[in-house]
Amino acid sequence: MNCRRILGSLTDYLHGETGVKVCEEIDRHLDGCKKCRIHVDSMRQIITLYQRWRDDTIPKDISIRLKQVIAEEARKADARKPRKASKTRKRPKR
Amino acid sequence: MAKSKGIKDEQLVGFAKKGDTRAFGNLMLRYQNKIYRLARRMTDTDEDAEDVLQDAFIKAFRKLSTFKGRSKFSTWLYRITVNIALMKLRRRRLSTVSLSEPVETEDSTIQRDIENGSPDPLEKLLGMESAEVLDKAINGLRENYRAVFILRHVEGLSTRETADILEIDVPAVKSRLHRARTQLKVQLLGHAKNQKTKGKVV
Ligand SMILES: [Zn+2]
Repeated sequence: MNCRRILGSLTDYLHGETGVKVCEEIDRHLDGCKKCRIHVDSMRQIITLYQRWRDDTIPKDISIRLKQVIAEEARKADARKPRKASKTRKRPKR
Repeated sequence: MAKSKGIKDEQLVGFAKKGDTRAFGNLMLRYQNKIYRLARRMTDTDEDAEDVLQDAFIKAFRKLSTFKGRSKFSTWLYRITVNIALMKLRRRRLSTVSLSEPVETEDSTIQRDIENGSPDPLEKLLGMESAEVLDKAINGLRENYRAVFILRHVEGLSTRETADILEIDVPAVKSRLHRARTQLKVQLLGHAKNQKTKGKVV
């Protein structure tokens, strides 16, 4: 395994998604190649930094407005449908 | 909502296609955090993010009948979101005088940087104020790189799914990821060096 091939498998390696064999080959290369080791370490750090974002959740007010917007869409879609007198029809707006 | 837990996306999609609004509501609950995160990180402001989020779900709602299930529902929804975000960013770029050009780093610089091989002070950023720094660095990336980085590295989707969402092939995903990571590194390193010369910690 040479430096170039390391780069090719780096993404999967960083996520622990390479097969065992490839993983071992990369580990072995990294043991002997300082340049790649430093590169891989810094890439791992960058990914770790940004993975904090994974915990972000949608703000409550934005979620509520989204629900309202889609409810409005549903009403519009309903209104476009041909009226087959249905018992479950919602009360008209307003 | 709890009732929908064991139900697969595809089943909910089936119900929603038949006009079951609550099924669509359940899909929305499942994906609103992910779609919001993607929208928020691809655009620069809360307002734009909310626009993208709403437009994405409106489009998904209207176009659901055209979703044939050839890909996963999530892939389809992500793709809609990315496309809306890209369109918004492009429109914005056309309508505003560019305030600060995104920092595009030349390949040669990146290559030199990698080959220099001195230990990186990146870990100094860990645990620091860096939220703002991280934002700034990613906003300096081209939109396409932003999308690929967020999907693959932040959301942890597979390279294959990322490729499907962006409608590019796997090698293209890999090369964009490589460039995205290296550009982020250059920007973060630049920031770390700045902090050092300014001699302040925050
Ligand atoms: Zn090497």
